[in-house]
Parts: sequence; structure tokens; C-alpha cells
Amino acid sequence: MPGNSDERNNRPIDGRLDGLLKEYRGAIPDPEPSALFMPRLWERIEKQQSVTLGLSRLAPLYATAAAVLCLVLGVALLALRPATSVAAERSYVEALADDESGEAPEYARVVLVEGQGER
Amino acid sequence: MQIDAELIERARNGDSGAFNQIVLHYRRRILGTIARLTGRPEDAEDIAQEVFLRLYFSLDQLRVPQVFEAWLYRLTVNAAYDYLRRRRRRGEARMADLSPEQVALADAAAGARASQEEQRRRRAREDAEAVLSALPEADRILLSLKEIEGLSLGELAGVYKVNENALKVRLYRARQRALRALEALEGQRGGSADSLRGSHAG
Repeated sequence: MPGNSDERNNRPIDGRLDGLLKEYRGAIPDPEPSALFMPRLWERIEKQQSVTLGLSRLAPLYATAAAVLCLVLGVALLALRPATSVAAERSYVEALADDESGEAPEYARVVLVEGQGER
Repeated sequence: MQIDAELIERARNGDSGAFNQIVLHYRRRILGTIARLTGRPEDAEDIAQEVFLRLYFSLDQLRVPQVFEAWLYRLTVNAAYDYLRRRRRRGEARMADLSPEQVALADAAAGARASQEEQRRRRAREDAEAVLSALPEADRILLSLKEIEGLSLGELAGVYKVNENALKVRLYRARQRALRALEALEGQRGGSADSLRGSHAG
């Protein structure tokens, strides 16, 4: 069963692992922070803040630039749109009326042919 | 010892003096934990600063001051994990990765300078490092927090945000891997295995 310390300490290898990890704790005591710990930390905080601040200042600029770009692209697309063809200007009903292909579906013709054969 | 909620609240509201007090209160403990989690005391200060930097910019997300320590430990674990993964990617050679002959040569060179106690400590550190570095980073950190830092299951559950049963299973697996690594180390050392067994028997 995981975490059963009584069981695990019965084996010699478990005892050796526990002893090793205990010694490791003693071999690396809590180090003393250097005198520069706090100044360096604040230096890093201020550096990070200036980056964040810079980005937040630039954010409206980027948003404006993106909006302008969208507008320009939109205008450009409208201006470059190809001249509309006659077919595109017709309504659906007009296009249907002009269609010369047969109205009867294919299966109706097949039934008709089969009926003639029986007779 | 937990610092009071009012200090955390002040730090959350941008009081740099309160933040300084928090750092001063925890920095030595965090430095020690990082030094042992990574096995590199010389890099601990840099990683600890990263932890407090992340703390500074994430304090506003802390809703309940009572979970502050678990929060700080989570940041510590994440920073140590990032460091260990970077180090593995770089594939740095460590004492634990050297052959027994190379270790013996290094021992002989250092032995002339170090006292007997220092040598014993260094040896324990190298052996433990060899075992811990054979584990995946996540296992190494979890096992270290439990067995070396002495965090309880309840505290670990707070840090990892998982229930205690799930943690027990993960701890059990991590420990089994560590045992296999220790067995391999003892087998590799061969002749010196007796001394290894003798010196670490708890």
C-alpha cells in the first residue's frame, strides 16, 4: 500500500534511502542570502514593470493601427472588386427560366422505357 | 511560521514595504528548499528571485491569504521544475553522471583539501544527487518536498491542489523509482557499496 511507512522501513534498502535523504538535508543547509538579494530582486521587478508598462502603453497604439489596417484593406478590396457580370445581376427566377435543360428527372425516363418493353 | 493576513493584504494593494517584509521572512527557507530541490545551491538565489518576482506579479490573484504558503510553495516548485527541465535539456554533466573512476579521481583531488566531515557530507550529497537525478523532475520534486523538506501530506495536497490519496500513489511510485536508482548506484559502485550502505543506513 502506498505510503505505508512501517512496511517500507522493514526493507534495508528503504532504510538506506531514508538515511541518504536525511543526510542530503544536512549536507545542503539553508544558504545565507547575499547582500544583493533584495536590490537585485527589485531591479528585476522594476525591469518587468517597465516592460509591462511599455506594452500597455503600446496596446492602444496597436489597436488603432489594426483598425486603420482593416479599414484600408476593406477599402482596397471594394476598389479592386471585379466588374459584376450579367449573369450575376440576374435574379434566381430569371436564371431558372433561361435554363434549357429538361425538367423531367432521369428516373422517370427509365420507367417509361421499361414500360414500353413490356408491351 | 505563517505571516499575518494583513501584511499579505497590504502587499496585494501595492505596499512595497509589506512585500519586502514577506520576502525577508521567507527568502532563506525558499533558498534552502530550492537548493535541495535542484541540487545547485549556487543557482538557488537566482531561482528564488524568480519565485519572488512571480509572487509580486501574481499576488493580486491570491483570493484567500490563508493559503499564501501553499501558493508560495507552488511558485517555488514551478520555478525549480522549470530550472531542472532547462538543465536536463542542456544535458549538463554532473558529478552523479561521471564514471566511478572519474568520481574517485575527483574525490582524491578534493579529499586533500576537505576535512573528513566535509568529505562525508559531500559524498552523501553526491549519492543523493545521483539517486534524485535518476528520477523524472516531477518525481524528484515531490519526493524531495516530502522526504527532505518534511512537508506533510496535507501541506503537499495544498501545494499540488490534489487529494491526499492521489498524492500517496504518486509518492509511492516516486519512491519505488528512487529505490531502483539507489540499487543501481550501489550495484555500479560495486566494491564501494559496503561503505555506501554503512554510511547511509538510517
